[in-house]
Amino acid sequence: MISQSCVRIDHLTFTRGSRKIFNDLCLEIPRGSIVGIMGPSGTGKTTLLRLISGQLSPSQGSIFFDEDEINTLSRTKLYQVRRKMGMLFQSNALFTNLSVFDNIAYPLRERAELSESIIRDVVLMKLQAVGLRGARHLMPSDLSGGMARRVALARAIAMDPELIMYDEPFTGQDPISVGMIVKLMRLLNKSANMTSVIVSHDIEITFSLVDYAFILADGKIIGQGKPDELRNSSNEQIRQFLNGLPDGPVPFHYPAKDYVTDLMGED
Amino acid sequence: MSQFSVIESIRALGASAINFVARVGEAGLVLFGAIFKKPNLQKSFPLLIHQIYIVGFLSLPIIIVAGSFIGMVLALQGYNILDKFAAADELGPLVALSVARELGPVVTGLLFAGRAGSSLTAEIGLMKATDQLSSMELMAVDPLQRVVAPRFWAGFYSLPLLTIIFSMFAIFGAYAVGVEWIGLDSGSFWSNMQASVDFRIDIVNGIIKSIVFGFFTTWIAVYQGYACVPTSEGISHATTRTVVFSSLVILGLDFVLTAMMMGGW
Repeated sequence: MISQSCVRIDHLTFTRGSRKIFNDLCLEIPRGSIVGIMGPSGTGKTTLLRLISGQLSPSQGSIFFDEDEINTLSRTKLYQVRRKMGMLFQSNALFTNLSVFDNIAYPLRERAELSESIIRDVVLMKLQAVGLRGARHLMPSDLSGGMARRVALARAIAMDPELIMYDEPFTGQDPISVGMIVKLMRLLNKSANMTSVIVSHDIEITFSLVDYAFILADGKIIGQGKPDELRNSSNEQIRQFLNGLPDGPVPFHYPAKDYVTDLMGED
Repeated sequence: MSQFSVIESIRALGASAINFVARVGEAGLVLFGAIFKKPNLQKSFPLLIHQIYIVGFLSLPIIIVAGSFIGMVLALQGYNILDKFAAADELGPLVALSVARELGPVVTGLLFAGRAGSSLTAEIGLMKATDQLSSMELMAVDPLQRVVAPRFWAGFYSLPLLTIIFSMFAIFGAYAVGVEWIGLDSGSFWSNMQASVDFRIDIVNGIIKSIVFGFFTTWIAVYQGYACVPTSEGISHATTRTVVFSSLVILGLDFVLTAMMMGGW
C-alpha cells in the first residue's frame, strides 16, 4: 500500500549545542503536493531539509519518508532511500571541476546502471527541460547565477526523484530567472508528479506555487494552511512575517540592557 | 583567587585533552570510512590517477629544484669540512647518506605538506563550504569514498616516489658542485658512494620513513579539510593546521623512526 504522505515528521526535537532548533515538531507532506516551509531567518528551515534527507539526526522524534524511518536506517539503506530524493541547494553545489554535462551525468554514472549512450540522452533531455542543452560544454565558472541554478535543478531531477527539496530557490535570482525556475517547478510537479518542498523567504512567489505552507518560528509551527488561509491569519507573528513589519512579536532590537544606561556606562 | 585560576587551568587542560582525543578518534573514523571499504575499482582508479597527477606529478618542480639546491649546498659545506681532514673524496658518501637517510624523506615530507597537503585541505574544505560534499551525500554517493580516499592514496603513493626523485636530484646537484665545479675525481665520488651506501640499511630505511610520512601527512590533510569549519576563516585555519601539524609530525616521527632504525629493529 502506498502511503498518502510522502514525508511525515512526528514529535521532532533537534538541538544544536545548547540551542533547541525544533521542539516537538509535527508535520506531514502529502504525496504529489507542493509544500512551502517558511519563517524568519535562523528558524531552521534548511536544517529541516537536512533532517528529512538524513544528513542530520534528530535528538528525539521520528522522520518518515514513505514508510522508512529515516533516522533509524543503516547507511546502505539510507543511500537507497536517497536515490528517491533530489535537492536544489541554495549554493547550487555544482562540482566546479566538472562541465555542465558531467555535473548532470554524475548521479547517473554513480548510481544508475546505464550505458554511456543512454546517460547522454538522459542528460540532454534534462538540459532541454531547463533550456540549457546548448550550454552543456560550459564549466560552472562560465555560468550566470540563473544558469547555474537551472543546471543544479537539472542535476537534482536527473534520477527522477519522488521528492525534491528546494532550498531558497529564488535567492539572488533576477526576475527572468525566477520566472523560469517557477515554471520548471510547476512543470515537474504536474508532469512528473514529484512531491516538492520549498524553503523560501519570498512570500508572494512561494504562495503562488504551493498547495500548502508551514510557517516556523521559535522551533515550532506557528501557522499552517493554504496560502489564502495564512494571509487571513490573525496571529500577530504570522502577520508580522507575511507583511514584513520591522517590529512586532519578533523585536527589531536584539535583547540588550537599557539604551541610556548602556550609553552612560562602560563595557 | 589563585586557587580558582589553578582549578580553571586544570579544567582547561582537561578539556583540551578530551578535545584532542575526540579529534584523533574522528580522524580515525574518517580514515576508516575512506580506506577500509571495498572500492569500486572501475570508478576509483581514474580518480586515483587524476589525484596522483595533481598531488604527485605537479609537485615535481618544487621537489626537483629543492633537491638540486640542497645537494649543491651540501656538497659545498661538506667539501669545506672534509677538505680540512684531507677526506674530500668522501664527499659522495657524505651526501648520499645524508640524503638517503634523513634529508630526502624529511625535506620532501615538509615540502609535500606545504605544497600538496595544504592544497588537499583547501580543496576539500571548499567543497564542504560550497555544499559539494552534501550534494554527493544527497546523490547517495559517499564523499569519503569518492573525495577523501583517492586523495589519501594519491598522497600515500606519491611521497615515497617524490622522495626517491628528490634524493636523486640532490646527488646530481652534489655531483655538479663537487666534481664539475670543485674538481673532485668523478670515479672516487661514485665508487666511494657505492661502497658506503647499504641498500637495506640506508635506502630502504629512508623509503620506509617516506611511506610513514606520506601516510600521516595525507591523513592530516584530508581530515583537516573534511572536518574544517566551512567558512573562509575555517578553511584558512584548517590549511594552516595541516602544514603545522604535518611538519611537527614529520620531525617527531623522524626522530622515533631513526631511533628505532639505529637501534637495529
